Amino acid sequence: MNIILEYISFFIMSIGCIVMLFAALGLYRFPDIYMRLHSSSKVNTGGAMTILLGLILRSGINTLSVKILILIILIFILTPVLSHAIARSAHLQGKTPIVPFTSHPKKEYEYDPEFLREE
Amino acid sequence: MMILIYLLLITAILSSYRLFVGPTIQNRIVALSSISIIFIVILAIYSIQYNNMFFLDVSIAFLLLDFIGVIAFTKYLGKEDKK
Repeated sequence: MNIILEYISFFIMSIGCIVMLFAALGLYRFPDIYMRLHSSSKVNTGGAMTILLGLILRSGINTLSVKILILIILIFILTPVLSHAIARSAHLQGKTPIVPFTSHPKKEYEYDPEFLREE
Repeated sequence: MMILIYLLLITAILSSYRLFVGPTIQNRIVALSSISIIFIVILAIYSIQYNNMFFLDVSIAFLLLDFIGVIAFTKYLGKEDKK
């Protein structure tokens, strides 16, 4: 029973590690700050919560698992707030996203034929 | 268990590229926040493997410190447009 639980927890943690690696790959490849936020923040939050859930399955009911539960709740609350604050600061500095047909209150958006330009 | 830590270290190296050569400062902040989350997860894995509670306290404090730092940076950056 214990060995089966250990294998299940290792499987869940490897899924979380692969998800976090895809988040870093998106941070490396995407052309814009908003696309990088879209790739990085949500996927990193999901992968970290998945790895910590696997750690709870591995350790059983302890004081360690209660602290990991506190860590999961803190990550679930704080990381979207961070991504929202970064996107708000980039928006207040006047950076338009590359994706066409989006509205910006301060600038009129002009359609760009070169879709993948660098900043 | 150690394979996951090595894979997370590869992830941190891959996202530290954006920290060093990112075009604007928001890209660097995103990369720094991502690396800090990876560091928190590595500390949690170490604390389960060696059955030590000290690393989990360090990881919770590091998460709160990262939150305060990024919020301070973004408040400072967002203020520039309102002159």
